[in-house]
Amino acid sequence: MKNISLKKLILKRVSKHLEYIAIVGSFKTLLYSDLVNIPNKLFGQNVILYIADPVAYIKALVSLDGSVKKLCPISTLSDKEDLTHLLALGEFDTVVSDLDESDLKIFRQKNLRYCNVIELDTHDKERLNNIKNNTTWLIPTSGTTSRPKLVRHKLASLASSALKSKNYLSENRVWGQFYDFTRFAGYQILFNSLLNGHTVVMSSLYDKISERIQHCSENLVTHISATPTQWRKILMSGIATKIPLKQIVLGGEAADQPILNALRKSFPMARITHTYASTEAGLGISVSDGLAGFPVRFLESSKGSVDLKIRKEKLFLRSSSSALGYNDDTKLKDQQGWIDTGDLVKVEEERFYIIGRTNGIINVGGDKVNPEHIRHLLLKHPNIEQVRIYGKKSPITGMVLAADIQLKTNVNEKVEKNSIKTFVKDKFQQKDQPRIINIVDEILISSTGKLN
Amino acid sequence: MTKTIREIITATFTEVFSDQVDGLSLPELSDKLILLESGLDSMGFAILVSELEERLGFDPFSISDEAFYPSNLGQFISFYEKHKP
Repeated sequence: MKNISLKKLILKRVSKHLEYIAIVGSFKTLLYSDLVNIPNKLFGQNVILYIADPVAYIKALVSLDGSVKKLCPISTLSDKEDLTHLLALGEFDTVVSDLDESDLKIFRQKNLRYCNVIELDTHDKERLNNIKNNTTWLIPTSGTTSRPKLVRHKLASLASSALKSKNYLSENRVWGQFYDFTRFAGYQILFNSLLNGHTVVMSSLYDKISERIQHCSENLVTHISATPTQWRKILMSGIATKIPLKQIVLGGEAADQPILNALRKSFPMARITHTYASTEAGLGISVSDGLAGFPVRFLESSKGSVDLKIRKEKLFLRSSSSALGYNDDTKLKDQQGWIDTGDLVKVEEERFYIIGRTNGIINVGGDKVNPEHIRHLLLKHPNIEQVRIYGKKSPITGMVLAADIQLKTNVNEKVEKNSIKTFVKDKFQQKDQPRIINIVDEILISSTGKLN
Repeated sequence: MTKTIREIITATFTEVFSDQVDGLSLPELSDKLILLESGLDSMGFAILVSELEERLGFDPFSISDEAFYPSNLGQFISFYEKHKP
């Protein structure tokens, strides 16, 4: 696929069905004919999208891909510190948003121009021009450090799985949205739907889970992709089986056997698939046999456009949909194109399982947490002597972040435990908060100086 | 007198709720209470299950072969009662 914009790609693939419904929002429905008539704007600029309304967000993507130079969509749910960090990673001209200017101080401080999302809708004949940009998409990822990184993609790599579909217009699929559409997994759903003439049912990430499930069931959603933690929540809602699901996809963290079994029981007719992918490596592998882990035969033979290998218990991946690189030019691939996923793998009989991260990063319900970063933050508390951070297995969120804490001498344990809890709530991002805090007598340090 | 599983669960729920939820009052802990509408999020439930494992000495989600995710408090308590070792 050569330099073709999202709008033109939609037009090319769905041209005979422009009367189909593309997007169902909470208050608004868009047809494919609406999408292909959105004007292109902000030619040649480096643009941040910071849009809360999902329908307005999709319209902005269609308007800007192919006209702007760089497009960096950031979730409005992002932590303020992460946002400041992301803004420092690139040079940007404009922020497009549907929020009030008072919510956008952080962008003003960086001297970014403000463009209200409504302005993208206006057809401005004078500005119609033929400048074409092969827009670079900058996708935030939790990366392997304590702060997010920006990964460079092109539409071709983000949409590679969507573009593989043949006979894509023959089936009427309705996708329900549970991922944040500014993340890699979210783009997979979005493009799989929009480039194949399907419908995507969107709800605000601010809505309650029960409202989102209700919205999916009212709009007869047939396909949902979500993390195992989100699926457990969906099942706990008690109303999930009202959704007429034909396809269930799990990704973002390891799918364990109980959640696969529970989904099978609740949706006996649905195909259940779990996937392995990452923002950096792109789309990896998927399997629909209802068993946790992946077949080892995936390691031996090339699986379509994806190669896999295990070296020193680590998973390496080579994929045609992988990212171009990091925005800061940190090395992503080796000379043969292999990406070190940083995921630790265990092989048992004929399956391999993702069991953790080589750098100790803990996956808590799909969010990556760096224990060293948390340990250093906790050591800033005046009465903490030593800390050990670890992930405790959880049947609900996969992992829960836990901290063993050794207090300084002569402090009251009960008083300090409360003071530490307040400290954590005040100073830590939600995903970084240790939720289980154990006060222990001593944390042992090994002869190599490492914590035991 | 030893406390029943129900008493331990409701007491632990109350503690985890006051620890994790700001600005909401504790809902009535009836069997019909929809867990995800109680104010605790899924992380809150992960903490509740971990805390109950400490206090009761077992985690029914790990020891049960039954693939089950309870939606209301009554189902949650029954699941613990049924799988008590």
